[in-house]
Amino acid sequence: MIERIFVTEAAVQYAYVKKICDRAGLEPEFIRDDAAYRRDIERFLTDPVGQGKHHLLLDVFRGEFFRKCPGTRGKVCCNYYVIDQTSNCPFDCSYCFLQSYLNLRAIRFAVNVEDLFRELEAVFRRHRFIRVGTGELADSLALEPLTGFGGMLMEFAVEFPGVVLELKTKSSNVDELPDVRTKPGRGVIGWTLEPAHVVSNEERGTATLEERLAASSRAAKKGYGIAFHLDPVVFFPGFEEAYLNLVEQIFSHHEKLDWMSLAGFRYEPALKSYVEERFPNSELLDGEFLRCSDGKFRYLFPERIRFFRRLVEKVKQLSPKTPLYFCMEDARTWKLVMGEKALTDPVLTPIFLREGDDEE
Amino acid sequence: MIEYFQKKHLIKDTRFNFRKADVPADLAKSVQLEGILVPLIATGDREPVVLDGYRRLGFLKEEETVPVQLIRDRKAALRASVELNMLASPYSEMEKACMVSSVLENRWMDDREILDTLLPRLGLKGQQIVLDSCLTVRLLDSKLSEVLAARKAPLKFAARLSRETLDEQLVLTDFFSIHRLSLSRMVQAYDLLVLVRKAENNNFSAIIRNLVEEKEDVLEQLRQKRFPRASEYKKQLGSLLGPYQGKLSFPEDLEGDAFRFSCQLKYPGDARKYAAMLREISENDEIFHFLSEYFGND
Repeated sequence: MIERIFVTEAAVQYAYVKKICDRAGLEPEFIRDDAAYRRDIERFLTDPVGQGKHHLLLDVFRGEFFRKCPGTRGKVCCNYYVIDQTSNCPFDCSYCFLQSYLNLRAIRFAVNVEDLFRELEAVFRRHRFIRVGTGELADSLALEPLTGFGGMLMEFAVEFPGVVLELKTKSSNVDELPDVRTKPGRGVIGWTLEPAHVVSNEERGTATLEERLAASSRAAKKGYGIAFHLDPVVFFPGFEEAYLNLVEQIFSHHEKLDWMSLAGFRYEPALKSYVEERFPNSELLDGEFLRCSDGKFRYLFPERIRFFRRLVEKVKQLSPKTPLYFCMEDARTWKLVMGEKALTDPVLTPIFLREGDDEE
Repeated sequence: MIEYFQKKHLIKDTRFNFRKADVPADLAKSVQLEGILVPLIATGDREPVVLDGYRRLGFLKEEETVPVQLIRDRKAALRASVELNMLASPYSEMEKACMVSSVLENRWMDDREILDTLLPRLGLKGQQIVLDSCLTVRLLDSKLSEVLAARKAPLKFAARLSRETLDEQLVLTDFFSIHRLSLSRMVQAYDLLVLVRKAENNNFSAIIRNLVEEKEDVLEQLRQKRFPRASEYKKQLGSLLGPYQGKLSFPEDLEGDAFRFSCQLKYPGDARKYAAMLREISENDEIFHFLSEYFGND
């Protein structure tokens, strides 16, 4: 997966660097900084997005790791906080916005994790309840065999009673994670799930659907809450049955989830050329899209509503207590799919606290 | 150093004439009135090869004498020529691609030198993928290349088209020319054609043959082929809300708020007028049926 490791001058002094290189069995290549990577490596790549995913850049991050998930303009916010310690991901998914979003093609991994933990401690002590994750700009567990970072972060976070830490992944790397059954905080492992057809056609390098579901059962035995994200829901011939079957598969493994999110496939115009050039067999752009007010393209609104209703009905039927929410959809969509009281449903309260509700 | 040569003693090598666009009229007028004011740039020793000034030379007779800045080091001459042209009249992206290919083919520079010195001078990113795109553009059919050059097409679009088979390129050339599409409409048409081709498992020629010449705009026809349900939805919405266009403001995206209107109240009487309009909409059976068909009775 990782073929080359680059270490910046700032990161050399950190013992964590040696640990990662030893685990990867790779000799580090020393460079001055990320600009040197861009200048001397990245610009000579013939497929910068794809090849960059095999390069790990160990660096030091001097800014703030912790921030509120920006969500999207005009859509309902789920009050999620994110930790940006890693950016980019070794998995290569056709629908991934990172292709057009990131300006460095290597996976950038900040080794100054002590700084991160110091920052987090101050944040976690300030909040009575906070839901936080690392999966915004990276897969939380894809590099776990090399870095062990997910486990370290989990061990730290679950000591705080009000903290819910979600590690979001498309891998099956859960076996090295700590047992959290007796901890005061809540550890959640969230999987992005797609029907097998989408996994094989649109995701490169990820664990199969069966592997992800099996990993979720193993994680649950260690005391983790389980979350699934049907995001993005991709329309392809036979998608309705495929997603409804997927929901059945999920609830044959778990009676109740910590939460489940739904989101139709949407894309910024810039993503289109990446899909066309890098994924010639992709079916992602085959659907009917309309440009929405936030500038993104989404499937036709009535078709989204119709299918979400079926999906939600299925989830409610199989697991009525599983909190279900939409990611990046507007309030009208929520109401049309789940009814007028969708946004005030008490089942969502524990995960959906509004800004300001949670600070002491 | 400026030297003077008769036009007939200068080597005009088409490989180094990168300009594809038509000669600007004011340039022709200027040369005819004032002669060549800024020296040409050439390289070589006894037989100077012209790098900059082909268009101006075209207006002179073979015996006429012209000032030439002769730079013996050809890389330095090329750099000077690029610098001057980018300041005076920047190359189009197709012209840049032509230059990069030519420089590489004639071994004036290697890949690395092109990435480090030539591409940045041309205002392009010094990246391998940009160099690859420049080389890919060579695969374009010459007529299509002319059409794209005339529209100042960006490198990325030209590179995409160059990946099509020659047959498909020929069909596109005719299609773009017959319908006199502007660059932005060419890009839209190509995007739609690619998607329709995939959906119908067909080729461009068959798709275009099925378009009705006299009917509506070809782009709209392609859009309807590619997005039949969305087109129908938009059409229905358009006919229902058409009477209120210009009076009420509608969100353009046809999302959940398509039926949430806004209006500006300028005069006291406006409120009553708009209230009546909204009542009319809410009591409109057609709108009610449309909404219940798409979203159920909730």
